Parts: sequence; structure tokens; C-alpha cells
Amino acid sequence: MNAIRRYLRPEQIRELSLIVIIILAVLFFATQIENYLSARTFNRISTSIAIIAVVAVGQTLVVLTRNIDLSVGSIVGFAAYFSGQTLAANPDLAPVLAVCVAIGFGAFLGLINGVLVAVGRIPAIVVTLGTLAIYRGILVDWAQARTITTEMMPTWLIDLPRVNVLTMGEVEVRIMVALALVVVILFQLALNYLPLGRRLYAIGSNPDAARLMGLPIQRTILIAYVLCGALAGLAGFMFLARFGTITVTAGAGLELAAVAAVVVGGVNIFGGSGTMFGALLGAIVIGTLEQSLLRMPQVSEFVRDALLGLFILIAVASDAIIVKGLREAWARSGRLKSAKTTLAPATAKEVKRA
Amino acid sequence: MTTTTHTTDDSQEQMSSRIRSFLLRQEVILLIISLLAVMFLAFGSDRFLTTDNLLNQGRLLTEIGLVALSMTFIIITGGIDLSVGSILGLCAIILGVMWDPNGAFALPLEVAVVICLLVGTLAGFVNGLIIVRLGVPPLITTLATLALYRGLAEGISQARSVRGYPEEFYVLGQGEFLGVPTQLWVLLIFCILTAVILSRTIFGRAIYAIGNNELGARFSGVPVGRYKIMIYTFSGFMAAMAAWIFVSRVSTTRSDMGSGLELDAIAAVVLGGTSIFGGSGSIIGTIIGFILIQLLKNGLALSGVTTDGTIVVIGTVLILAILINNFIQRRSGNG
Repeated sequence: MNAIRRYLRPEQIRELSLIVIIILAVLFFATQIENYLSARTFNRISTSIAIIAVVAVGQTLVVLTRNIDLSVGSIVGFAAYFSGQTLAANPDLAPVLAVCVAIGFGAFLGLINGVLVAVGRIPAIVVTLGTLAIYRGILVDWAQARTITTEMMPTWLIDLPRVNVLTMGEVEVRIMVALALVVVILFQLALNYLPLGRRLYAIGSNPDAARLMGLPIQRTILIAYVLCGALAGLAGFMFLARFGTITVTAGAGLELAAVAAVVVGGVNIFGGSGTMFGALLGAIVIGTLEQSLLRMPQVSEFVRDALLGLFILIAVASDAIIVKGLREAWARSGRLKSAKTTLAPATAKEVKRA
Repeated sequence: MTTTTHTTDDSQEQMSSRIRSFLLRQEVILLIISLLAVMFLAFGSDRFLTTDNLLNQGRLLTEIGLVALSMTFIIITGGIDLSVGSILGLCAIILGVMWDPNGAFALPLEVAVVICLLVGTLAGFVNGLIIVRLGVPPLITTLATLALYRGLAEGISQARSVRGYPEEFYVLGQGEFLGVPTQLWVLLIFCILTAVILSRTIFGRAIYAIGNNELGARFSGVPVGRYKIMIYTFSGFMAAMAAWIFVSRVSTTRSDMGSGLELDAIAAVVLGGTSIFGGSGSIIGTIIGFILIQLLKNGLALSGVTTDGTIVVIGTVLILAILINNFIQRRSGNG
């Protein structure tokens, strides 16, 4: 136990146990679904996870600053619709520009959130609960019941989800999965090494101290929201590429998946701690559950949402209990050790142990 | 005796300053805005300021009103309940499925209503239990139960709707008592009840104490956990009441009932001056809040704005309400 305590922090145990949970879940679904352990299943599920992961990375940036963005589902839907419409109108648009349109549009919606939260000083819950409804409402009005269909899309976009970056036997790493991984790694590096990344942690863990230090709080929160919106826009583009058909309800409920991924992945909802890799693991857990339930013939489509909600609740609740317990165990042992060393000179045995 | 007269003098002095600050309170500002809105809407459409239309609006606002009342308690403690709309949907479905004469249960309507209320109360209790005992933040808990309860409603209903209730069931949602829609009396009773509880009881003061400083409240001997579970349970019960009235009003049950109700309810509470950070707010503010929201919806519908357009406006009102409130507070803080 002491050895474990020395080498691992509670957060790392959480990440390890998440990997165990993912393996157990996969094994369970393998017994329930025919041909589950096949390359085909991996290829399909990994694409869905990629979309959730990209949204979760953006959500992490915001949650680190002690805020939240509930409007991401609507941003994904709107960006998917908007970029689909743009592509339908200009089929010759360069692919890079099309992606930029989606990202830029998402960033714009994120900017509105950011201005209201950072400059308007309105609580994030209220702002994003409002914009969740506003963006979706404007989208419905804008779309006028028109649906973006696959036929309207240029061929490169339809073929995009099946482009592989790496093929190992039948297991394919699709371009969208690779993109999501690049996003996770880039933002993890940014969190670790860029001043902006460190500021996110500083503001989230102690806003008053951050203010006294002279950190640009408003600007940092604003940037977090813009980046979150931009990533949701990117996810919207991935959504468009994957499904081809976009209705006005596209991406609805993604905020739940993203927030759940972030919380399960160990990002503290009260800000100040968490990693992008944790969020990625959370996205894998949530995405695997969601997509596997979809493929279970025993589960009717009506019960699926209830089961997913239940799983998320169980995941979040058990996570809260276990991590709290682990932290207490660590703190207790830490306190005991420091108490002994301050009261009496450490014995040889203790020196060896420490 | 001397001390008593002394306090009356003090309170008289306080009275005059209280009247002065009264005029600057959010509730009064809101009331003035409401009156202006009514005047504006009355000019916009000649159908608006008719007794029929106004009483009909009373029917429509009852569901939002009931949920907003219990939401006020929750927001004052610094929490939030996003699952109320889903609880309403779940309870409506339970009511329909339990009563459905062609279904598996075919219970008497009275029993079905009791089960509906119990299920709502239980759903709220589960929220409270997870928030208090497991320490999961209210936002996360109710976001997950929002999906869970809606999913349950869909799972139970299997996309079928139940209709054809007996005539006496519609008394609550479509009938009148003393010339006023029946459900408005229910709403009135709950308004008075919650206003008295929040402002005149130890429990009510404790709710404010929890919102101002939870740790402080705990050290002062307030059973914080128990009180929090109680208000989330109450929120579930109110959503179930709203479901009962809703089903009685529209004569049918569907699993998508009440979706988006949380936005209206939270908007009403926040519009009524309750701080989203907790610690301050009042029932009277919430009452003005939900009346204003309903007037707005009615006015927009009369001028031909679609449902989605209305949602956009409600969302904007929610954000603007806090923006203006922040502005006023910053002004009065400087002055």
C-alpha cells in the first residue's frame, strides 16, 4: 500500500481504473453483441469517440477556469449545418477552407458565450443554458425545416470518414480519430507548457490569487470559451463528414456526453485540475457505452437514453466517492508521516520507508 | 417595557428607509417592467387585454409557476435543478400508463395520480440523495438525471400516447372555480405556502443561510444535508403536480412533455431577482418573473413568432436579466 502511495497519485489511480473499466465494458459487450470484437466495430466506435473527444477537450479548457459550457451541443449542430450549407452552395470550396468555416463559426458562437461570461460577468450556467436554447432556436429558424443531405455534399467530404492514416491488419485508424488524437496531444502540451495553459489552472484553482498576481482573468476566460467554441465547430465539421445528413437536431445532447466525459475523466468541475488525457479517457468510456448500447439488439431504442443517463450517473457518483476516499487515505498517510517527522527525529526504518 | 418601546422606535425609523429602498428593489423594477410590457402588448394586439386571454394565460403559466416556486428554494441554496422538465415528462407518462384501461395496469384514476405524485417525489429525492450523500455537484447530477428521467419516460411510453380520460379529470386543467381556472387556485395556494415558508420560518432562514455560507450554516447547527434533500424532493413533487395539471389541461400524455421547462423556470426565478450564486431571492420576485415570462410568450405568439423564436427570446431575457441586474448593482455599489 505504501509503495502504491509513493508512486501513484489518486488521479493516476483514477486514470488506471478508467482503463480497467473500458476493458471490462468491452469484454461485457463482447459477450452480448455478435461480432463485437472485430475491426469493423473499432472503426465505427472510434469515429464517434473522436467527435466526443474533440468537444470534451474544449469543455476541459472552460471547466479548468471554473466555468462550464452547456451550449456545445447546439454549437456542434449549428456549425455542422452552417458548414454543410456553405459547401452545398460552393461545392468547389477548398477542404481546408471548409474546415476553417466550421471552426470560425464555432469560435464566433464561443466568443458570444465568452463575452457574456468574462465581460458581462454573468454566471456560466445561465449564459450557456440560455445560448444552448438560443443557438438551437436560431438554427431551427434559419434552417426552415430544410435538411442537409449527402447528395448536396462534394465527394471528398463523403469519402473523408473512410480515409485511413494507419492500417494494422483490419484495424484502421481513421483520419478523424487521428485528428482527435492530435487535438488532445496539442492541447495537453499547451496546458503544460504555454503560459495560457498555466493561467487556466491558476484562475480555476484560486481566482482571487490569480487576480492579485495580475493575471488577465477576463481575457483568459474569453480565450477558453473561444477555443471551446472553435473545437465544437471542428467537431461539427466531423459530424457533417461522418453523417452527411444534418437536421436541426444535430448534436443535441452532446453537452451531456462532453460534460460527462470531462467529469469522469477527472477534470475537477470546480476548476483548477485535470488533464486532456483524462478527458480523452472519459470520452472513450462515454463513447464506448453509447455506441455499444446502440448495437445491442436486446436494448430497445426507447430505453437506450435512460441506460446511458444511468451509466453516466453511476460513473460520476462512484467517481466522486472513490476519489474522495483515495484522497483521504493519501492525506491521512501523508499527515501521519509529516507529524512523526516533526515531533521526533525519523527512525532508520522510517527513513528507509520514505 | 422600555426595551419594547425602544424597538418600535427603531422599527419606525427603519420603516421610512425601508420604503425608500423598496422602490429600488428588483421586484418593484420588475413590476414596472411587467406593467409596461402589458401596455405594450395591449397596444400591439386587441386580443391581448381581454379577460378570456388573460385567464387562459393563467392556465398556461401554472406549470412553469409551480416548478419555478420550488426552483427558487434550490437556487437560493446555490444549487440548480435541470431535471424538472424530464421529471414532468416521466410523471405524465406514469399517470397515463397507470390509468390506461387498455394497458397492463388499468388502475383507478385517483390511484394513478397518487403514483404519479409519488414517482415525481421519488425522482426529486434521488436527485437530492446523489447531491448530498455522494457529493456530486447539482449541475452534473441533474444534467445526468435530465437524460435518465427523459429516457425512462420514453422507455415506458414506447412512443405511444394515452388519451381519452374521463370528463371529471379535466376539471383541474380545463375547469373553472369561481370564474377562475381551477389550476390558478392551486398555484395561488402554493405561492402563499412557499412564500410563508421561505420568509417566515426557521427552515426558510436556513435556506438563505445555506446559500450565503454553507459551511457557516453547518457550524451553526443547520442540518444542511437534510434540508437540501428536502428541497430537491419538493422540486420533484412540484414537477409531478405540474405533470398532473398539464395532462389534465391538454387531455393527453406524451413522453416529450415538459422538455425545455427548466429553461422557463430558471429564467423566471432569475428574472425575479434570485441570485444564481445563492443567498438571496424571494417568492414574490419569482411570481412576477413567471408572469412576465408568460406575458412575453403570449405577446410573441399573438404577434406571430414561432415557438423556436420564443425560445430564443426567453434565453435572451434570461441573460439580459442578469446583465441588467449586474449593471444596477455595480452602479449602486459605486454610488
